[in-house]
Amino acid sequence: MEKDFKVYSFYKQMQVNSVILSFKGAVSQDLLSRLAGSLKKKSLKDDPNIGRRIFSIFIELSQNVHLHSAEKSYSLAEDRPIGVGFLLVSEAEDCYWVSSSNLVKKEKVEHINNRCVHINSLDEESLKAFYKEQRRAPQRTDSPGANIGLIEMVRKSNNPLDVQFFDMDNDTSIITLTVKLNKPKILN
Amino acid sequence: MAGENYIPTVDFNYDTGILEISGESYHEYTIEFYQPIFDWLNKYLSEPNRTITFNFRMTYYNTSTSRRFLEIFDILEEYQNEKGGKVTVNWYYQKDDVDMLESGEEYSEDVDLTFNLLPY
Repeated sequence: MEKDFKVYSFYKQMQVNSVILSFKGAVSQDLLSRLAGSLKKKSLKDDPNIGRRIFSIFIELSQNVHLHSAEKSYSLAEDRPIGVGFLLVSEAEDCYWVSSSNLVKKEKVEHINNRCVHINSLDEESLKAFYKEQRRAPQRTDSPGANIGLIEMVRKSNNPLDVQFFDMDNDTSIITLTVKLNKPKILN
Repeated sequence: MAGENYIPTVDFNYDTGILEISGESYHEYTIEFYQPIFDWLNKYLSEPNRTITFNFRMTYYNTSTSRRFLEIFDILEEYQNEKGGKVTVNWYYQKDDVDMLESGEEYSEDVDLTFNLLPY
């Protein structure tokens, strides 16, 4: 920890920005089910459909971190290395934000970015077709993931993916992925 | 198989042909988790001409599970087309859950099976 890091200002920033949930560390299956459970209790009571979508996007982002983070931690319980990263859910007046952040190898940055740009360029019908096509495509041999998580997040949120990359060192970047979920408009 | 909060409850009845999967499914490694389910199903379907009712009563599943469900539907479709099976899929969704209804509709577009979309 650098000496100008202040727990107080970190916490205050989260208070001011109405952070509902934040976590940094190894995203294990057990931890994910506990975090998701608490998130569900908090968000479902407002609007069940929004609550379910927050839950769904949170799970997809978390499992991306678990599977794809370049930073791994060995889990005894799961008997395999699992991804380390940062998860954040916060609330604003008119929307919710669900974000993940983790390390990524620089050679993967271009592919991830291109995929996000492509998904963001599709309208609702093309997105549905792309989702179905990718779900039909053979399972990737190098990953147990379904390769449709990013598409699913855009379909659930009706908003584009906000993806950003920041240099960490020579061969690693930090990726942040943020999904915005609009609250239903209240008519006066 | 009894479910936990990220593992569905699976109840396959050999005698009645009523197969049911319910609850939540967001295991990170669904290929491993669903393997025994596929093994059971493939063995069960080695016998031709069965009448099967497959009930899906899910409240949530992740995209990884979504692939496994499509694989189950493909197996059922093949059984119906090639082994004289009679398959009915009942896709249950909570009545206010528009996304779960849409997911059922999208599966029914992707395979040639009798699909009932049932609110509860």
